[in-house]
Order: sequence, then structure tokens, then C-alpha cells
Amino acid sequence: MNKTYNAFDTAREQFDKIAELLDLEQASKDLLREPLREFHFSIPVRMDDNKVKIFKGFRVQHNDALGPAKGGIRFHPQETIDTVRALAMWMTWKCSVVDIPLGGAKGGIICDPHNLSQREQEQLCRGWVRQMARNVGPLIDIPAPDVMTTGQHMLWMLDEYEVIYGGKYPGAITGKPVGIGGSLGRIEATGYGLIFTVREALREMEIRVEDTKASVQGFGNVAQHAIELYNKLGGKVILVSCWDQDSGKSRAYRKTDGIILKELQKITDNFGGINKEKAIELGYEVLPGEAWIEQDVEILIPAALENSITAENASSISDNVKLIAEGANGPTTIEADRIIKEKGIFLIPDFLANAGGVTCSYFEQVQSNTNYFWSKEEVLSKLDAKMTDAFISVSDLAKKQKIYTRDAAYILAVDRVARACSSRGWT
Amino acid sequence: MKNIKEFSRKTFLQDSFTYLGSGSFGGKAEGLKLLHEISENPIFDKYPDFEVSIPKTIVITTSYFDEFMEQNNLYPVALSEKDDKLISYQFQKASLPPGILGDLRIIASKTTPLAIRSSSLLEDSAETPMAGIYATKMIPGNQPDPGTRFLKLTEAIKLIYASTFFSAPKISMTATGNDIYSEKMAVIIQDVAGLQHNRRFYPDISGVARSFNYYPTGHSASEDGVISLALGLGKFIVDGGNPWPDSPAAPSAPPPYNSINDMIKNTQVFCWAVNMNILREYNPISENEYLIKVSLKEAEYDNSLKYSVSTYDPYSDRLEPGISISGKGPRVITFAPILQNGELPLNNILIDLMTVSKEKIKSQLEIEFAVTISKDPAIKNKLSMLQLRPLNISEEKVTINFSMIKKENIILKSVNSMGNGTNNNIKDIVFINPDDFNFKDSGKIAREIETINKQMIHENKKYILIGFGRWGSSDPWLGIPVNWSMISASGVIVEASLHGRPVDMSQGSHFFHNITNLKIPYICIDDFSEDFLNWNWINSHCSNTNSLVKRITLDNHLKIMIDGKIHTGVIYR
Repeated sequence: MNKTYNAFDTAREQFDKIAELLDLEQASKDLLREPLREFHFSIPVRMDDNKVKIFKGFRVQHNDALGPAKGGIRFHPQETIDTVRALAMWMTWKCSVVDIPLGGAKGGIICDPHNLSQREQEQLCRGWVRQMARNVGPLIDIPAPDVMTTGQHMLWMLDEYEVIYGGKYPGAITGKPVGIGGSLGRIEATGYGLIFTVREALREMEIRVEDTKASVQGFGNVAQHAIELYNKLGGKVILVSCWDQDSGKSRAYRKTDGIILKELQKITDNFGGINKEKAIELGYEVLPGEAWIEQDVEILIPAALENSITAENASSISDNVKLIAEGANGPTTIEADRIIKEKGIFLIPDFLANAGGVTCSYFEQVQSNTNYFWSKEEVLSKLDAKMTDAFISVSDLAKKQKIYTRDAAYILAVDRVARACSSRGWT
Repeated sequence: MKNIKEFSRKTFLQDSFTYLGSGSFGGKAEGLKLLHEISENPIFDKYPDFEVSIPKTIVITTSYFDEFMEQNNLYPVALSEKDDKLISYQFQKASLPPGILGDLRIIASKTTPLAIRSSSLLEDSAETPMAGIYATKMIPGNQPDPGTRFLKLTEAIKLIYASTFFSAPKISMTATGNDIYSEKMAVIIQDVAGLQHNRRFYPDISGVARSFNYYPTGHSASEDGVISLALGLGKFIVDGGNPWPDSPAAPSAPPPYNSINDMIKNTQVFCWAVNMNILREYNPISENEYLIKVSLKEAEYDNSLKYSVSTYDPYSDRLEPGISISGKGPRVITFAPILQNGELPLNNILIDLMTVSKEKIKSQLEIEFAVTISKDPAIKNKLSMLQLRPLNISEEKVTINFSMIKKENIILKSVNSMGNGTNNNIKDIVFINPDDFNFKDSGKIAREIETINKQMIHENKKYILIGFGRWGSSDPWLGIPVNWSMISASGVIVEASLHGRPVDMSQGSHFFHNITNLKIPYICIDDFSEDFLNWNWINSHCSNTNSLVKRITLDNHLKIMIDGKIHTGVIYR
């Protein structure tokens, strides 16, 4: 990754471009290119060696004109406030593009949970909530798990919140385990949501799913569920790539007549790493990780890292590729975007394609607030309806204004938020 | 193929026939495809006041059935011996495939009644008919909450899936030499044909048109066909009710009843409708959850009897077509305003429909339909075609030479026989002694027959079944309420008259369709004709006196001959 890369700069550049296209008033531009609120605070934790260590915590609420802010809490040793600001802004656009009544936020703690005991992590979670309790909650800002945080962390945070407020507020935090305020379908939501948009894109292009093949970068939760649903719809994935912890490199596993998801899952670790030797035994061809983008397929699904499609490798995309669906956040650089556009490939931008997760988090919050939990069918059908509606809105706008789908998605999202700010009299 | 395309959320309100998934349409939906094409025939341009079409149809193909079964690991329970209710509950607890849920939610955004119908691979084929043995469910679609409508739709689909593995189809599959594991179910989601009248929804007329009449009467010929007509939903006919029989070649021919009193007693006195009112009992595993019976009085209040009734005038002892000016007198469902007075060209439309359909499929056939009479002059009346099935007519040439058969060897002889062909492979007779029979026991008799039928399947044997009243009627007071799976091993069915009571044959039920397509002879013994059944001989071979239903097994095979040309049948030893 470029050392000078600043995610917040990128986010603001993107916004500025869209603001120009929308011809937003200056007040709207000024409001939306900066967070509404930022919280920076210290969290003292008594460690297992009985010494107190001070951790640095953040919460950025970019905009809540559409509804309570929503966003994850990251535990990361290299966390920066600019990364959190950018991610909060992108959350605003993501919630807006799928038309859910939530704003955007993001938070984090600079820490490496690998070096913390369970007790220390619990104290860290409770400490974060003690600092933020007045400024988060079901009607203000609803945190969720993110990088290196889990449902367990969310439960500790919720418990602390409920201790402070002396009641039960399951809608204060999402990403909770099923049975303790969590929603069915949450695990599948991002991957399934991605494929709902892929299905709709193929319908628009009048291509049958059964007539397509896909190459997938990544084999984590999102990729696995995306592959599962894509297979069910009749598509064939011929390659998946993943990070190989032992060699410190990414590898790709290919079967030209279609990978078998269940057999690969059996030889995959919790981080999505596939056992190379066992894969070879199962008849998979092992290729360098970068090979995922060069496959002669109709669909590419980057579902692992940011900046995976660059100016350097975009030219190696096969002429057969008709569709790129961005499962990961920010997998395509601005230069690569231009090449994709020139090649005439249909692109489903990240903040639309992977919005299934936040949409299901919204459903979890609704269920938690009413303390009435839906069947998986209810959740997934509503997810499908939301994702499909969002896709159609973006696609229709792109066609109508003859613009790139990423631009159409941004225009739709920013316009909704800007209008909400204006309607509230903020701008 | 006429304009059948993949389901689209953008256009589904306009699309008339769409599908979901990549599997098979199943037999019933394949029939609908044909009807969809047939509806384009210019012959119907002759009837400018009528639209001839199929209701808006969405087919969930069998690929989703496969996925549903696999993802919920349902085969162990589906193939088990568990009863239908337990299988239904297990299916209700399972989740439908994620790929279809969003589309179903969109479909549930409609607020009109929907019929959720089975369409299995074997259903409605000529060789292995499975008519009427799978579930159909009507849902009102009028709940204000779209989430509730979605839930009801998913419950209905799961019920149809579960019905693939109910005991009746399992038995039928075994009896016809098919493997239940190979059966797959597509589901048809269709607008219910009809209109809302107050808090109920039903068509003005439903019917079954057959291009071949097994029981032609008077001057009519078998090839003229026959049409059964009823008020309300077609459930009345397929359940073995007593619809009005119309001979399309002579619609105004005298009715097939001995007297007006006989007609009043034996014609339709209620109809079925979709209940648009508050649900009486939540029961997702019942086909009838949203169905209600509507009396003729209620139907008249709904203004639905204009074309279907005659009014009895006690002073003249006559039936007047329509509702009399005075408004007084019992109403009798005769469809006289249409058939006698020709107020609607329904008879002619159905003749044309059968003609063009026969040309299309190159076979005799039956078509289920519903008619909605528009109350708005700007909107056409509608004839909705609901189902098409080929009829399997035997071409074997059979000549019965009674001079070659010793009279004392004849067990049965009838000039009211349906079917055609010979059979020399049956040794068993299952029967009810007329002296033991009472309609109040008909439910118990049905269960006893089912038990014997299972035993016959186990022994891999066929049998002659002899009973009274209308076989397959859902009304135990009209006949023995068996469904086809309960008698699936029968090789010959005999409907005997009881104590001089005239026989009253049904031609409209799914039960009847299965019998005819499996070429099972159906013989009626009418005491008022030259028919003959040798009860003395049968009883002399029976030692079992405890049960209502008796079985005798003979040493030698019986000889069975049916001459379809002259509707004559004989069974002799």
C-alpha cells in the first residue's frame, strides 16, 4: 500500500467530485466533507500484571441526518483517526445508498487484541462504553463489530451500557450472538447481499447466472457465503484466492470445472486460509494469488483486500469479464476504475455490493428495539428486497444519466443525505 | 413459446406468465404453458365480450424444491412413515432457499387472493396421473401487513412441498411403479379467478370440460364431450360434488333428473369461496384454512346467481331460468340462463376451446376453468383456463360375444361401463355387502378399504372393488369418501346401485381422472337397466363376516372385458 495513502483524503476527494456533480451548496459541502462529531478519549485498563495501561479510543459520527449513526468498532494497533473518519463517511454513504434510516459512524481503539487476555479485552470494551455511553445508544449511535472485534466484545459493551442506564437496551449495539439479541441471517448477510446485486446485474445484462463463471479473491466469511448463494443460483466459481499464513503470500486455488465449496471449507482455517497440500490432494491447481484477476470468467469478485485492482493488473482482466462486484471495501484504485470503465465492464461498487451486512445490522436493531425476532426467511427476504431495490435505483440512475455505476451510487447516496440535512434546516 | 419469461420484479405486475429457478415446470405448469398458447388462438375473437386467458402465473421450478430439500435435510423425514401432519410441521419449520425469498416478498406485495398449486413432475401426465393428490392452497392476500402476506405465501409453498411426501402420493407412486425419491415439485402461484363479493372471493362459474364423454346420454355421442359446471371455486367439482352436467352438443337438452324434486335434492346447494374475512383458525398445514362454504342465499346476496340458477315455481311446478321476478321460490343451480337461454356464449366458447386444444395436444383432454362475469360494462367477462390434462383413451378393439359366455359364469354385466380393454389377471374381489351397507358407515368403510389396499400393494395384486354411491365423493352421505391413493391397487371399480337407488356418476373429480388415465374400468350397475351383479355368487365365496369390507380371493383369474364403443362390460369366471 502507498505509504502516503490517506483514506480520509480519498474519501473527501470522492465526495468533492460528487458534490460538484450534484451542484451542492457550499454549506452542504462543508458539512458533509467533515464529521459532525468526533470523540477522542483515553481508556485506562488494569492489566493482568496489575499495572494500568492507557489505551486511545475514538468515535467519529460523520452524519446522522437520516437517522441514528451506525458503524463498527475496530481494534487495531495501527488505527488512525483519519482512517476512522474515512470509514465513518463511507458508512454514511453505504446506509444511504441502501436507503436505511441510519447515519454513518466508526470507532476504534488502538490496540492489538492478540496481545490481550480475555479479561483485558473485556475491560477495554467496558472502558470504551463508559467513555461513550452518553453519546451512543439505540437513538443516537449504534456500534457493531468490525476489524478484530466479535459478538463477544459487543455483548460486554452492551452489558456495560445496560448497567449504566439501569435497563435492557438490546438495540444499543448490533452484531450480538443469535439468542442474545442477535439476528438470524447476519452471518450470511454480506455475502448473500453481494450475490443479490450480482443476480440483478446479470438480469439487466440478460445473462443467465447458469451461463456464468466467477473468480473470487478471498475466502473469508463474505466470500464463502457469496460463493454458496452464487452456486445455488447456478453459477460456477472456478478460482478462489486466500492468504497463506505459512508462506506469507496469497495463493489461488483453481478447478476449471468449478470449485466445490464444502470440500474447501473443510480444509480452511478460521481466517479463510486454505490448506495447500490438502487442496492439491483434492485436485486443485495452485497458482499465485494474483492469478484471480486474470481468469477467463464472466464475473470477478474481489472480496478480500483494498486496492486489489490497480492500474498495473487491471489490463490483465480478460475480455470475457462482464461484471465486477466489489465484496471488499475499496478494492479498486481510481486509476483501475478508469480502465474498468473503458473496458465496458459493469461494476457494482463496494458500498452497494457489500451493504448487506449493515442492512442486516439495521434489521437486528429493529428486532432488538421491539424485542421481537424474525425468522431467517423474514430477514433474508427483506435483505434481498432492500439490496435489489438499491441496485435497481443505482442502475436506473446510471443508465438514465449515462454515468458509471460507482458515480451513480455516490450521487444517489450523497443526494439523499444532503437533502435530509437541508430538510432538517441544517444547510 | 408465447411470452413466458423469467420473473422480473420490475415488470411482474404486467407479466402474465413467468418462472423462477432453472428446473422443471412440472406437469400442471406444462399444461398451463399450452393453455397460455391456446389463449392466443384467433378463434376466440368471435367472442368480443369474453377474454379467454390463464390467470397471472408464476412458476417456482423444481430447482428450488431440490435446494429446499437439501438445505434443510428434509429427505429423512419426508421419506419416513411419519403421518402427513408431522411431515407438514417439519416442512413448516424449514427455511425456503435464500435465492427466492426476495422475489416472494415482492410477489406478496400484491393484495389479491393467490392460489398456490402443486405441479409435480408426474402430475397431469397421461401415463402416470397424480391428479388431485397434492395440496393446493388459496390465500386471501388481504392482510394489511406485507410481512404477514409474505409469511402466508411461504407457509403455503411449504405445504405444497410437504404434500409431495404425504401418504397418498407415496401409495400412488408405489402402486404405479414410480419411485417417490425421483418425484420433484414445482409450485404455481396464480391469481385466483373470480371477484370479491362482500367478504368472500369466488368465480361465478367453475367447471371441467372433457372432450370425451364416458357416459353419453340421449342423442349425444362420446366425442361430443361433457362439461361439468358449478357455482364458486372448482373445489366443489374436484372434491366429487354434484356439478351440473352440460352436454355441449345439446346444452338445452332435458336435465338428467327424474323429477324437479329430484333435481332440487341433487343439485348444488353451496359453493366454495376464499374467506376474505377474519381468519377463523390459524392452521398453516390445512389446505382449507382460508376456504369457506357459501350458501345459495349468501351467493344471491352477493348478486352471483344471475346466470346460474333457475327458480322453482310451486304453482306451475316448473323451473324458470334465472331469478323470478317475484323473487320467490327455491333456487336451483341449473345454469339455465346460459345453457337454455343462451345469455352468455359459454357453451360455444368451451366447444371451441376443446376443439383447438385437442388439435394442439393431439389427444382427448380435460380442461378446468373458471368464469368471472364482469359487473362493469367496460371490463370483459373472463374465462380463465386453470388446468389441462390429456385423457388416456384405450384404442384396443374389444368385442364381447355373450353367446360364448355361459350365463351362470357371469358375475357382472353392465351397459354403463366406462373404459375399454380386457384383463385376465385378477383373482381378488373387495366389496361391501348391500345388506351391511349404510351411508353413515362410509368413512369407516373408506378406512377399511385403505387397509386392504395397502395389503394388496404389499402382495403386488390388483382387485375388483365393489361399493355403493359415488366413489371418491368428499361427502360421506353421497358415497364412500376414498381418495385415489386409498384404492390405488384396484384394477376394476364397480359402482353398484343400492336398494333401487339410481346410480349417480361423477365425471369431474381428480379421482375420476386418475382412474380413467390408468385405464381402470369403471362399471356402474344400474338396477333400472339390464345390468346385473351376482351377489349370491359373491357372498357364497365370502367367509369373513366381521368387517364391513370383505375380500375374497379366488383360485382362478377372472375374465374382464369392457367394450368402450357400446359402454358394455362383463366379468365372468
